Amino acid sequence: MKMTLQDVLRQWRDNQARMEGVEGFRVLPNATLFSLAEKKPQTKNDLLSIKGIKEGKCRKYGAALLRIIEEQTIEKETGEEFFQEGAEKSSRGESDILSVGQFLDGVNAELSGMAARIRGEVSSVDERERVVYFTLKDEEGTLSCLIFQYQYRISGVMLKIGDEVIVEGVPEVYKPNGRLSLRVGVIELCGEGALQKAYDALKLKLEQEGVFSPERKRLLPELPQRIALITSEQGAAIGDFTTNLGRHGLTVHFCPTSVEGKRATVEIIEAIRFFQRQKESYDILVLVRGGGSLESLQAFNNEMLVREIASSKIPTLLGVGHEKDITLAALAADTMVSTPTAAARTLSFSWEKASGLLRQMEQHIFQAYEKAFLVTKYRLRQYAQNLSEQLDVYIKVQSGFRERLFLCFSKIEYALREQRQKSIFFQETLLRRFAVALETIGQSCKHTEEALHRYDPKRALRLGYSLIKKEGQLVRSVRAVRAGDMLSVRLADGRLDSQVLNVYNEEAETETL
Amino acid sequence: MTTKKSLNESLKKLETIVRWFDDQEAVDVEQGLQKVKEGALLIQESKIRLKEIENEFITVKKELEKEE
Repeated sequence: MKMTLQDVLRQWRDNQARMEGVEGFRVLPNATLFSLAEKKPQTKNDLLSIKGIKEGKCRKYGAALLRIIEEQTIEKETGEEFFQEGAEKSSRGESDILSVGQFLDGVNAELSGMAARIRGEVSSVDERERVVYFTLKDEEGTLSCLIFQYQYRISGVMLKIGDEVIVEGVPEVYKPNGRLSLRVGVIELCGEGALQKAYDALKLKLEQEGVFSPERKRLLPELPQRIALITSEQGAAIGDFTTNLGRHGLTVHFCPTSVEGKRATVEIIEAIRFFQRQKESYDILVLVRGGGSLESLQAFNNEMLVREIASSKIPTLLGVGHEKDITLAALAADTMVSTPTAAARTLSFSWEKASGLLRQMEQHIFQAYEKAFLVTKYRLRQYAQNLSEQLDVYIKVQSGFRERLFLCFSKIEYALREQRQKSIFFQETLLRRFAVALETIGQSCKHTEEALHRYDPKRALRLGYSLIKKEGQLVRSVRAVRAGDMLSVRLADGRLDSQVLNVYNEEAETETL
Repeated sequence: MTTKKSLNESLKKLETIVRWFDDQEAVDVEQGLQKVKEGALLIQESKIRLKEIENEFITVKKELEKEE
């Protein structure tokens, strides 16, 4: 299938960016690529009318862009015509002669399409504030190079004279001195020996700083749900990871990056930073890659990347294969495993463990309750039995008590009955005796009445006796009166006053008689 | 996020129930029944969450690309 013009332009842009060691949009944004494909500019002026292309970019990439557009279209003016314009003009006359600057612009425009990957030995290093200048040499020649500090830091290589390196960059003539330099985007150490040395030195440095210290490690979250994944879209790692992740309803946000070569460092760092900006949205950051040699894993031994992982706000899990030495990025991670498969299984394990734990707890809770229920049931049965026994005892006691009570009541009843009979007897006796007493009293009263009647003075008076009183005093003897005394005589039917004429003593009368 | 939280919480609550049973010298059957009911509900919810379901796989666009 034939690529569209836009695809070809994008491919060229990505390749150019890789060579320059910058992000794609810094070469040309997608919108500009779209406009280029749509408008298909054929001249410099056409290019300058495209949004996103100004004089600088036109100088730098114009020739390459026009060439691509020409190759992809029919009956169009070529880009070469544009750049040959000057030469054609020069043949027209003196007025068309180029200035040095114009000429160098043209040269640079041509050179911009000559991005290259070059191997050589470092013969000088001059590190400035913003730029590092260095020279590469081999048996045949010397090449001046420069790299911007931010790219130099990302490269993770500390250039030293004698190092053998591979650089990627674009040649360029520096107009003020006319010197040709390679503007480097990527530096890689060359050879296992140099890489090992750099690895060991950086490892020691980071160890001394405590970057790998166990105290800094965080436990991976239980049941991670939202996973930020960084790895390559191609290769076995992504397949191994997804295959072994299990089916737990996880949300995996996958940010594809290169995982090899110096571009990998930049892309992985960008991906990590992208996820960090939304750290609340992720439970874990996973970075995986298949195994490889020290050289192929250089990105994972890059100081900036290692520090980025060490300072991640999201707990990190690295599954990066290796042959001999564990990558420094893995050492800086909270948890490291040796393969993408192991990384996936680490995540999956938490969920499988949860399933097992759930089963255990389910069993435990129901067994505990069943046991408690049986214990309670047994106790209740025992209580019931005890209660029944106690009830029997109570019934027996109550029965005995009732018998005794009945006996007591019987005794009381008997006693009451006896008392009642006694009472009746006493009552009858009393009444009888009382009647007798009354009778006796009645007789006595009668006798007394009769006696009283017999001894009633009035009866004596009625019989002819009388009572004589002298001066109010009863006269019981003749000796109490004298002749002449006035006496009061009481008779039965009245009283009479009399005067004593003579007094006669009975004894004297007797004598007289 | 809600589901995850609830699963984590469910497991923690279940652990609390397990500990409750373990800590009791003599389990009160009435209280135990309440705990079992609560536990059964949590287990049911957790089982639903733990049932095998497909992962959601999203390739994210980096902000840098969005800026283009």
